Amino acid sequence: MEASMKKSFSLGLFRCVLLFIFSLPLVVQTPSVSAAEQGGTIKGVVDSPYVKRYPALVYIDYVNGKFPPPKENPHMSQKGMVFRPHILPILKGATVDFTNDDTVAHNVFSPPGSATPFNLGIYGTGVKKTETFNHLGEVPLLCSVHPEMSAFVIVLQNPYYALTDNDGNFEIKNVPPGKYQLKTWDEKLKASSQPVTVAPGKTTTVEFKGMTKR
Amino acid sequence: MNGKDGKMRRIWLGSIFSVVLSILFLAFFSGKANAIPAFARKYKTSCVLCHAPFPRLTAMGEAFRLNGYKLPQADEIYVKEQPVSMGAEAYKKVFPEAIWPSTIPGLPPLAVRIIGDANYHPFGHQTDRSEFNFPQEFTILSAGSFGENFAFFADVGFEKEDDSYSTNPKAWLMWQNLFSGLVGEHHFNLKAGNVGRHTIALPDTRNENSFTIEDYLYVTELDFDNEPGFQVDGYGRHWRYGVGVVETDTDNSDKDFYGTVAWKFGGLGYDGSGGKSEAGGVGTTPSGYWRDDSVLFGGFIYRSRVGINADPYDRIGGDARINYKDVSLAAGYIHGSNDQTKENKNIWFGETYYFVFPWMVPYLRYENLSVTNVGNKDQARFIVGSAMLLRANIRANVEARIYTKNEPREAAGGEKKDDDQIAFRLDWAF
Repeated sequence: MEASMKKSFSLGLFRCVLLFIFSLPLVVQTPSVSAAEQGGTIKGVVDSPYVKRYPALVYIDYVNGKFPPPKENPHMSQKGMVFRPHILPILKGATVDFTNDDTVAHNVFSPPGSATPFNLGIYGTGVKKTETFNHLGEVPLLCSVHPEMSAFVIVLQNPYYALTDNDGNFEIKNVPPGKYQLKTWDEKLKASSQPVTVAPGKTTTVEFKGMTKR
Repeated sequence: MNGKDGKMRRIWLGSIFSVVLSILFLAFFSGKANAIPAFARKYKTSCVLCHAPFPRLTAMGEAFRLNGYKLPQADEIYVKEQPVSMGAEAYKKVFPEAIWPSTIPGLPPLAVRIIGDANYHPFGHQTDRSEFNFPQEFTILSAGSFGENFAFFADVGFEKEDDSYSTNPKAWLMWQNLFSGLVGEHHFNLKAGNVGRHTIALPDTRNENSFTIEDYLYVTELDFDNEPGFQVDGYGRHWRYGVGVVETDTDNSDKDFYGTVAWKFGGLGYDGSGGKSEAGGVGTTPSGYWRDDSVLFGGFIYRSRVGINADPYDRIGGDARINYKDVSLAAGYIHGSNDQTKENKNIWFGETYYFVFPWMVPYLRYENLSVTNVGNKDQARFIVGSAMLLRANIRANVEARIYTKNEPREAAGGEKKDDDQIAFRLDWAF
C-alpha cells in the first residue's frame, strides 16, 4: 500500500515537472503574441488653415495583407442638391451605392483622369445605382445637372485612415506594428507623405507641415 | 486619345465657327432679361440650374419661375439660406383669428446686373462708326417668395440713352394657387403690378428669354413692353396660359387685353415633373444641363383699345420650338394691324442655336418684316453671333447684325447698311 502510494506520488510529481517544462515556453511566449495583436495608434495634425473647411484624409499607403471590401456597400447620397458625404474613403474593390434622395433628377459621373472614370447617367427620385471601384486613387464625383455639386471617393488599399477634424487633428487606431508611409489627401492641398513607425500598444505622433495648395 | 482629339476638334470648330461667322459678315457689311443671382445664394447652386446661358431659362428655370421663384415640388429641402418666419405654421389653424403665417427671405434677395456694349458700324454713312457704352444697363433686381403662395419681383434699371440714363422701375406681386381646391394646384394665379413681361409676346421666343444682344424685331416694331395691370395665369405638366388686362394710357380709362397659351411635349414639364433620364455607362459622358428634348408650341393675342398715339391695334402670333440634344430650332410669326393708320405688319423669323460647349453657344436668326398700306417700312436682317460664358455669371457676346432690306433707312436718305453693326457685349450679374 505504502509502496503503491510512493509510486503514485512519484508519477504525479513527474507529470507536474513535465507539465511545467512544456508549458514554460507558452508562459514566456504569451505576452509577446498579445502585444503583436495589440496595434498601435497614429495620432497627429495636418497643419494647414485649409483643413478647417476642407478636411484632409490621412491614410497608410500600403499595409501587408488582404483587406476585402465590406459586405455592406458604402453609400453616397444626393440630397438637397448636395453629395453626402463629401469625402467617402473606401477599400479597393468596394461597390458604392449612389442614391437620388431628392425630388429632382441627378447624375453622377467622374471626370477624365480620375482613378475610375464612370457615368451613371441621369436618374430620378428614389433610384439607386452602383459602381465598383477597382483602382486605387482619387475619384471626383460630379453631377452634370447641378455643376456646383461635388464629392470625392478615395479608393484605399487598407482600412487604416482618418479624416481630420476642424483643427486638423486625426487619429488612426489599431494599426499593425510596422514601418509605413503615411500620406495625406485633401481636395485643396497637394498630397504629402512621411514615414511612420508604429509600435505595439504605443502612440506615434506625426505632424504634416508646410502643406501647399494644389 | 480619340476622345481628346474629338474635344480638341470641337474646340477648334466651335471657335472658328463663332469667330468666322462674325468676321465673314464684316466683309459684307441690344436685349433685356433677368438673371437673379440672389437665388444662387439662397439655394447655393449654380446659375446654370436655371439659365443656359443666362438670362435664357432652362426648363428647370421656367418651372422655377412659374412656381413663384420656388423649386417645384419640395422647395424647402433645397433652401440653404433659411427664411425668417412671419408666424408659425400652426397659425393656419387659428385663422381668421390670426394673420396667415408666411416667411420673408433671410437676407434681402438683391442682385445686380451690369451690361456693357462696344459697337462698330463697318459700312454705310455712319460718321460715328464706333461707340463704347459701359455700362449700357445697370439693374438692381429682387425677387422671391413670401411663404408658399406669394411671390414677388422688382427691378430698377438704368439704361443709357444717348448721354443720359433713363430708369423704368418694375414690380409685381403674385398670389398663387387661388381656388386650388376647385381648379387644382398651379392652375389659377393672380398677379398685380407690371405684368406681361413673361406673357405678352410669343411664349417660346420671348425677348427676355433670349441671350442675343439684339432684341427681336417683333418686340421693337410691335410695341411690346411691360404695363401696369392684372394677370391671371396657370400651368400644368404640358400647358400654360395667361390672360391679362393692362393700362397703356393713364389719361384714358380704356384698357388693353391679352391672352396667351402654350403647349409642351416631352422634356421637363412646366410643373417640374418628368424630365430626362439617361442610361450612362462606360466611356459615356453625361449630357449637358441645357438638354431638354421637347417640342413647344405657343400663341398669343393682344387687343389694344387705346394704342400708341390713339391708334388702337391688334397683335396675334404663334411660335414653335424644337429642342433636341444640343440644338434648338425655333420659328415665329406675328401679324399686327392698326385701326387708324390701317397699317398691317407681318413679321416672321427663324432662329437656331447650338451648344458647342456648355460655355459656347453660336446662334443665327433671320427676321423679316413686311408692311402693307404704309410704304417704306419693310426690313429683313440676319443676327449672327455667339454667346460665351466666361464664368457661369459672366457672359460675353460677339454679334453681327446685317440688313438685307432696310426701307426706313433708305427712305430717310441713307443706305440699308447704315444699320449694320458688329457688337461686343459683356453681361455680368452677382
